[in-house]
Amino acid sequence: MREDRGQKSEIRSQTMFLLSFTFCLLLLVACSSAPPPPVVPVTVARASYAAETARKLSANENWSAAVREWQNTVDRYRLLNDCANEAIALHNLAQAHRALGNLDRAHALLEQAADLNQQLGRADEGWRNQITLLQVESQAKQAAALEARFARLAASPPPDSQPQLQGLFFNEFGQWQQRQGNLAKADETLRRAEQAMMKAGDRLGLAVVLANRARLDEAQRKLADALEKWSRARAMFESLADPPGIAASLAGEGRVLLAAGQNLPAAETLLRRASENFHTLKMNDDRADALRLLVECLTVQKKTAEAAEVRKVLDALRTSGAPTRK
Amino acid sequence: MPLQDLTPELRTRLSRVERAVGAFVLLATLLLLTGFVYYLRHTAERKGWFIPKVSYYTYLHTGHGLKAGDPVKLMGFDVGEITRVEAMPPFEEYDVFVEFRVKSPYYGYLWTDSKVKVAAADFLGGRYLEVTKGVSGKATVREENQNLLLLADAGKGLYEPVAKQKHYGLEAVESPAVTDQLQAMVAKVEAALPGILGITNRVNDVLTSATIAITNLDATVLGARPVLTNLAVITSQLRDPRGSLGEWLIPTNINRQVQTTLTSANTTIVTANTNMVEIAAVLKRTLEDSAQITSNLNAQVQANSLILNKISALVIHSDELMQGLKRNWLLKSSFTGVTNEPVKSIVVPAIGGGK
Repeated sequence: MREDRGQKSEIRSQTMFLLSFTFCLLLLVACSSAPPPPVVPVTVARASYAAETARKLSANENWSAAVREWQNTVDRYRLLNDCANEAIALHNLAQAHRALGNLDRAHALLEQAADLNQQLGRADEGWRNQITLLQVESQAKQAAALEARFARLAASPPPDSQPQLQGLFFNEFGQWQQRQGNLAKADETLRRAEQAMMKAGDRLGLAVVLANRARLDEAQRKLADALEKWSRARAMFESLADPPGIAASLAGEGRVLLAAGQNLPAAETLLRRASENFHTLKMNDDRADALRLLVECLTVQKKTAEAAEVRKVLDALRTSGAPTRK
Repeated sequence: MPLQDLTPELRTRLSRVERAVGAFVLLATLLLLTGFVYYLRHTAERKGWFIPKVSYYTYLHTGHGLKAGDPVKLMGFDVGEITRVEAMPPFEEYDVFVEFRVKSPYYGYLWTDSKVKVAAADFLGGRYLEVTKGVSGKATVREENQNLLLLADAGKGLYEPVAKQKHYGLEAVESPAVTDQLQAMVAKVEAALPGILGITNRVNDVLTSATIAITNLDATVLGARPVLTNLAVITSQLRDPRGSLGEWLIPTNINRQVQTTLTSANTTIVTANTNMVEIAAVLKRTLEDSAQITSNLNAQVQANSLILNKISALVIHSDELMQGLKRNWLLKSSFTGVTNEPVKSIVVPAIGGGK
């Protein structure tokens, strides 16, 4: 029995050997190999590796490590005099600083990146710098700088060939107009932003613009429209698996229901879920807003004990001064 | 354009080209087949496919480092290969069954008193089988009328045809792998270290004793200095005619002291000399041991560095092979790996509203 098995395995191995030999011969005779790719210099490879590492750190929201790695990337591209990639690295370094709350540093770096892109004539990248500068100035509440920048940029917005940049710009512009009290203009601008995002196929951008339009409807007291838009935005954020967007939509829906005085138990549930999600996401400002609305909702429903408990949590949150995620 | 639409001249030229292509293909195929047949013949000769072989078997404690296809050696020659390495059932006396084949004419060297040695092949735990030449036993294989007969009963001297008897068992002499031997050597060195340290401690003690002895000698010499001064005075007095006439006599106690001192000094010097000889002998032994240890360690390091070089070369060549395959016309589509997206400036749209 063992003998037979041994002979069979020997025959099988010999057959395999002959087959593989024929295959190798075929490859040898019939192959036409491509020349090897050019060797990338070590310094360039190191810079690319640093950029890739930094990008992963930013994607994982490991911001302090991302700052270090983006700074490393900037230095390496600067040594190579690769200004285009240096500008990109500066921009992303600024984003990391912004996430850590260093808005002044982020602003300065973005200005540097914008200057470099202007010198290189890279208009698209320059627009990305400008849009982020708008976000930083808005976050830092630098109203004068923001107004001056919008006045300069609105005169010549991004071209139609760049729908995503157009969508990003109009999204910021619409929010600024809303803050200025020009609700009708803001509505028109956000509609343009929505169309641009749709054209660009940017689903996240589309969901964000829809959420901002829902906020605008709330400001205009068009509560039914606002509720419908929040609901659509939530569905889009859910399909994109974007936790901050989902939490914002839950809070928005709850806020609209409360403002309309409709279905208060549903509003309570939505606000509770939103506040828990904001807590998990360490978005303390948004959590405080959601808790305040929850207190209001519970008070209207005459759930005084629960309202008192939530108020205690809200007070504790305000006094703790815990760091918040932007 | 169909062939019949062409001019006769073009048709003739085309058919000539076709014939040339056909001839080329035929020639290439013939060349390929010739090469293949040559390779087969060469492989058959090398592997000894048509050489008579006889199977033997043995039992080992472990099959570590052995596998089917490994060569079997006799007097330094590759005389066969292992065909089977299998574990025995749990309650058998022996642990591992190893069967191997020996080619003609080498099985003629294998007698009943031949042994199967399992020797260490390399530092990675590899082992190989080596059969020893018979000295005083009976031949295990006999050829009669071009038939191979294998010893079936050594006591009766009974031989059976190979087809019936299949294989013959040989006794194994197993030695541990090099790594195990190295480990044992390291353990021995480790065990010997306290002894070496003891020797160094004894050397230290001896040196301390010698220092003390030399200090004592120094003190003794210092103590003897006044005596020598006195002796000088005495001899100067002896040169005086009055002293030599017995007006001045050497006191006996001084004479005794001088003798005692000189005897003591002599003893001390002899002891110091003996101690120094002992120290020199011990130091010589220690240095020889140390030299041997470092020499062994050096040999080990040299051997390991060669292995590491080989491994490094293997890795580099494997990488080169893979890179070559990646560029091959047939296989390159299988290697179209995911490339990283170029890094872009990150801009995320913000949800803001009335804030």
